[in-house]
Amino acid sequence: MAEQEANIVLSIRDMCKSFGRNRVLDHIDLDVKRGSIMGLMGENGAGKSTMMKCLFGTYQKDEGTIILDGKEINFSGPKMALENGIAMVHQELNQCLERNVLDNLFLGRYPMKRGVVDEARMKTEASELFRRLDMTVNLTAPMKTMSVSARQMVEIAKAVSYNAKLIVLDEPTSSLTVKEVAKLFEMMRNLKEQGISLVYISHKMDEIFEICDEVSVLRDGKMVLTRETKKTNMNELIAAMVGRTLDNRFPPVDNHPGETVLSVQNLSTKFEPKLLDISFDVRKGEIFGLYGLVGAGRTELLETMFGVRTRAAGRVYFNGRLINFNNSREAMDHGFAMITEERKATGLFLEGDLTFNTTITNLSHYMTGIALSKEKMVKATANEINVMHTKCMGPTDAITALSGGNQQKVIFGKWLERAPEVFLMDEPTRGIDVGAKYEIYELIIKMAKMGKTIIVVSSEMPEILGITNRIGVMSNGRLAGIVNTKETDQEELLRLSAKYLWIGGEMTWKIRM
Amino acid sequence: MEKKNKSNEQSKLRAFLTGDKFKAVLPLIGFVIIIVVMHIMTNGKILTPKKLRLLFSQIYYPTIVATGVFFIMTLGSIDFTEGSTLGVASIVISVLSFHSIPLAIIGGILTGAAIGALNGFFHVKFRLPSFIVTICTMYLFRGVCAYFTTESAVPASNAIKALDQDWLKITITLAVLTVAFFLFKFTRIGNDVKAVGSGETAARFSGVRTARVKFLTFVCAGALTGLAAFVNVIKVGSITSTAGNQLETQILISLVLGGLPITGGAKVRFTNIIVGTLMYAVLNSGLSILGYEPQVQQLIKGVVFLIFVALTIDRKALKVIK
Repeated sequence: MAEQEANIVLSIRDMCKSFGRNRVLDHIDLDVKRGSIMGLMGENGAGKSTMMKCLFGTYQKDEGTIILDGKEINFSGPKMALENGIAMVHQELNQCLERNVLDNLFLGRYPMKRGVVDEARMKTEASELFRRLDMTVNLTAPMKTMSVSARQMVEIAKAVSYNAKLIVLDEPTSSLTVKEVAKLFEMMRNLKEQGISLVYISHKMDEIFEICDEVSVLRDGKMVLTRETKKTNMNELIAAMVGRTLDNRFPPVDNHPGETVLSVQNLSTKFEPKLLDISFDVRKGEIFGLYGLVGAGRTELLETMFGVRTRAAGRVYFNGRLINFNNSREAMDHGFAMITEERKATGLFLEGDLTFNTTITNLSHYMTGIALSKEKMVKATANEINVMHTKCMGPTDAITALSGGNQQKVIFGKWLERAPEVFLMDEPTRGIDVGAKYEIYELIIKMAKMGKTIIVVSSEMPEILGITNRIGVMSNGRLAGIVNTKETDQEELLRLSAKYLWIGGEMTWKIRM
Repeated sequence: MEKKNKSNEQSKLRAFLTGDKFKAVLPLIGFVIIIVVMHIMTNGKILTPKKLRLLFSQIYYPTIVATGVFFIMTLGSIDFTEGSTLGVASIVISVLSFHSIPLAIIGGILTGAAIGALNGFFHVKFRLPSFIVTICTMYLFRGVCAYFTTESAVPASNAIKALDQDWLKITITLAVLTVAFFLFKFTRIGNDVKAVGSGETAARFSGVRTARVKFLTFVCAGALTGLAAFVNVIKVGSITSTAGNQLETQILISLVLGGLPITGGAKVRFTNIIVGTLMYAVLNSGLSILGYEPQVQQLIKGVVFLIFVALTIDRKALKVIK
């Protein structure tokens, strides 16, 4: 028994946390073994980040104990946690991009020698550290010249240099390429051998099964499952996450595309990243997917069609009429709608409530005389909340109070208010949970059945194969080919997406299986 | 157990003190405190009818100017040109007042609108932060103002001075506030301005013509300052080089006293304008009645300003002002 206890680095018992009446964490238990990797999964809003914030002292827990190496701890903030051997590598890295690797590594604890910073010692210590971790890094390169993955590695190295016993990695692979992920995993295994424990937060099943020894699932603030990865499977994890079995990840695609309504001819753009000579047709009631590696120009293509990016050449026809939009207003007046990729930065009005976020695109419809009618706006918002099954208290909720999936539903509702004919969607399910994803797929197919034309960009291979009729594959700013979804497979999409890779200098790889 | 309750209460209190609700009532609390303090310190002299009339006479044109600046700050931008715009527009009005009064009013408004257009043009077209643009144009138009007033003050006609009636100034001020409130609360224009303040890119993708909204807001704010210049001219009668001096700081202090976060953004409230200008006026006349030297007055106002900025600022929006 004692031996087993000694083997556990971190032990959380009965941890609770409430915000107002809302209980976010409900008697959480978690044990992390020494030199092991614990996967942590859960839908958005399940309580993962709250749990981590309580662990690191960003929030104060209401009840429960946290035991690190046999001692009860209660951190007042991430710095104290770091000094006691727990570190976290965030999804969005906080680094001084203008400074070099050494500076970032020793920030806040520069070694001093007679009142000046001891650069020589910094260099020796850093080289020693990176050698131990089997990494090659240019110590004097400014951080901004390095890739995200290299910067992540430096962040992990920094944690190790603080003699961390436990490192939490929060969705570290979300912006990494396949090769970089492999490198990260190699490093994680290396750390594991050195007796360091890792908590790995991710939405990606394949990664969890590849790298983790154990996996825990949070749902609605409760720890619903903790198991060795060898003894579980994907279906069990999904069932634990959503609280029901999900046999099909995608609803049946049973829409029937009609006549061609939208025609893009020889479209090129003026500014980087450039699109070159893109032509394709989309039919009424069709779900047309756009696949490609990151940087292939899919977002740029949607933005150009929506009129927010400058065209250099080419034409877009809709219902046989030339429609080269010059701004989003024109596009909207012709029945176009667009859901952007970066929800926080370009989709939401974070200071507004649900009503503001729902009604902003369609204000002229909520007038009584010359004034806007609050009543009509609230009614429309309540209606969209109903249609989209958005989980919230009501139309006056602040948008920031909602989880990612529900925020995305509000954005969908905003555009549904305009009853668009052509719906452009850029990664509509990015960063939202399994349950909400399914609902959004259903909505997309329902709209297609109603005769709406849908163009959807996705980087997730199963998703693009699961919900489209045809797929256009982009490669380095060009259209590499159009395939019928039913007659294609992952290999063909990958082959096409690499078609023009060597033409324009440096390439970026990012494939999500 | 008792200890736990206590800490719970403490955390509740802390949540309340940093919450939005508290920030909403803070200006009102401040207003009451300032009035009570001034009332006691001046032995009730501040609340006499004569003093009140004087107090109100100080707030007409700042309220009109503050209304325009309020819209600019809702965008998340800032404007430092009010003082020099008021000066230049006052000169134009005074000169034109010898020909025709309506012409003078229109001339003043157009002058203000033109300066606003210049600010908006550089802010939108060259993507310069409004902070930078308006500091440059403030300097520029302060120079213009000085150029016309160095030899002697620019006099206004007696006809325009005869308009110095309380009812007229009250009517203009209330009309501006009413129209602005309606625009802000119940029209597409108000929503577009709030949308830009809350998320400019999101607004662009939602069909808001952000460049046009920003440009027009600057033009309108300038035009309002031009109108305020008219109210200023009928009161002072002749324009010296100090016309509108430090008005921009006064407006900024007023709005911040009224609870408007200095970073601006869509969280502003319309009452910020009214409460703010009133508070500033009470503070100002209170300090005069108490017999402080102008330098000391400025020092005290600076301290109050700093405290209120710190209390009301929206730390989530702490980026560089657009």
